[in-house]
Amino acid sequence: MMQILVIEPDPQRCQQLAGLLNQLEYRSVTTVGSWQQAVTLVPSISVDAVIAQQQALSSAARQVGELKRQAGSSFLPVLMVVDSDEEERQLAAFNAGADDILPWPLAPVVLEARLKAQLRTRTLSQALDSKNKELMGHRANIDREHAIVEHIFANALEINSDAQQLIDFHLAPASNFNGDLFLCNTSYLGTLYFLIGDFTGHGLASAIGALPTAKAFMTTSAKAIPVEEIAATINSTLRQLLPGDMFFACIIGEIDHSGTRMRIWNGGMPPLLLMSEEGEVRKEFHAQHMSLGILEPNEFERDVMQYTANEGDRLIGYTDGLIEVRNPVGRMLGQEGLTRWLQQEPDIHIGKLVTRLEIFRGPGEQLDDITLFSFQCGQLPAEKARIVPLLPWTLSLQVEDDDIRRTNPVTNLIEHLATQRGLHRHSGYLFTILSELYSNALEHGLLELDSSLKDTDSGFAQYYQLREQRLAALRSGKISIKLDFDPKQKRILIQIEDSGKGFKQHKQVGQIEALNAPYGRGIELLRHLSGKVEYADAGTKVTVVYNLDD
Amino acid sequence: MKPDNRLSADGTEYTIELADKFDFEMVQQFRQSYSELPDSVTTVIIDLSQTCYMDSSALGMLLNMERVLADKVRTIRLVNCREAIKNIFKIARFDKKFDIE
Repeated sequence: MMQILVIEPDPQRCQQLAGLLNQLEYRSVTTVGSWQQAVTLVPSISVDAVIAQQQALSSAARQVGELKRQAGSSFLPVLMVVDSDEEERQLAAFNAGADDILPWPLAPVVLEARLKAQLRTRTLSQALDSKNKELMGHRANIDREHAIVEHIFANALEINSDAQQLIDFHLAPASNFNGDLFLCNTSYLGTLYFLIGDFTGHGLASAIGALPTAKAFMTTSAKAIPVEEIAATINSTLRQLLPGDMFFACIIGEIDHSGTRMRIWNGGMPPLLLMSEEGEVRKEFHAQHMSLGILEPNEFERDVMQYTANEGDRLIGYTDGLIEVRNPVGRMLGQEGLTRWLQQEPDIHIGKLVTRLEIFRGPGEQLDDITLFSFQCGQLPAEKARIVPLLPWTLSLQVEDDDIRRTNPVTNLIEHLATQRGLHRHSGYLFTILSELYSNALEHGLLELDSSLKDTDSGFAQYYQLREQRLAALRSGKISIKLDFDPKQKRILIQIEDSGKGFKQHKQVGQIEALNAPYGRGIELLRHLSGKVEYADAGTKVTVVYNLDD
Repeated sequence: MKPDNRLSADGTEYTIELADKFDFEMVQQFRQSYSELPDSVTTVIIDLSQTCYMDSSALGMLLNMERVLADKVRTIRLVNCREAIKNIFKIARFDKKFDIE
């Protein structure tokens, strides 16, 4: 129901007007005597139209303006009752902001026609207003959702700060969300991993695959999984996740401690460039594979390119967005263009390269995501892998015949040690040492096997068959293993003792010289891998010191 | 599954891919992996890219293989060795008998 507000100081005319409006079926009419009263009422009773006596408004323009402001964002029609048919007075009403005038005395048909026309505009304006509010609400929602997603992306795609210091890179998305991806990480071994890739398309839709990809890359690279296995993992994830027309071109690389030996897997990306210090292209790592997310796991190919660069060489990686940039006359930069820039200025840093690119493009708009990185080949810092825990610990266990048959305590111990901070790097050596000591205690101490059996290929296998037989028949026997970690000396003291005949080391010593003998090299290996090897109690007890600093 | 074996398209290269642990438990399996090599094979490649752990019996197994295959193939290459594994080969002076990469 339409709500009409009448401002009329004269009570008699006021009643007359209200009566007219009632006749015209406007049932909700409020009358006030002054502008001040009207202004306070407008917002509270949601007025649809104001009919005001011209004389009631002392400074009409300001007062009409104020009434309309109080009504909020929708249009509030103000009709002014003008007593005279003088043009000047009527004009004054319009100039003050009235939307129409009502000449007094008022004919009901005129009132009806003019009021209806104004109310139609009011209704239109209200509809528009509510659509506007709805749109603004949607907009606010989208902004909020984008902000949340951007926040998640920023956190999920944050680049490992250790690795970041080693690689110079630049990411320029064409919209809020990047369909390009650049990640790097250092593994527990201290090797450097990187991934540069490009999802089909750009914007949010193409960025969606970045999250699972980043997660898979960060966890696998930390464990020093080979690049082709990382590629295979991401491939199956994306194959499952992405719609059929979406895929991910990418290069995954691992660079060893020396900073020169690299293993590269390239699927569907432009070639990775290796430039010499003089600016010559030393090697191009072209794509050998299809993009990720296309092939079934069993069709997936694992071939990897391996290369040893010179110190000082630069590895340059980029997405196609870079070489497809066009200058104002429409010429594409191309790989030749990029290579030319790198040849002209071999030590150009990424920031400067990006500036050259912007100058090349001129005022044109960036159409695709652009990603670019550079790695200077050279020794990687190894601090991360060298951090050693601060607390001393002792680990001791004793296995008896049944345990020995059922499990290999060395494997269990290594699995445990490898999870300790700073020790993973040593787990390979510790495995070799512990295996050697344990095998000696078991095979020679408890099972009394003779290594000379290993002299021939068939004897070698026979030796292990015999080992199995005697192990099955073993009725008594114990082996105890004790590890002491000393954080101050940064070393692990390893003690192994067996309840049997011990290990007759004199037989084996020096046989490593005879390269053809497939046995006896164990003890020599031990001496190389550890600081000290000492046998006591007729060979039943052995102490080895392993230095973590070596 | 491991060790995985592959013959190159021209039949001259035979690759044995080892698992993450190369120790005495692999004795039978490893021996079988080279027991029936086609005559066309001239190079055997042992891929250690996955191998993190190795004991001294693994060295013995490799030497045995070398002895058995000495007259049949031209080269045995140990490829994709991790730092620790390579170091163990170095200590054992395996570079005298194998191509280590």
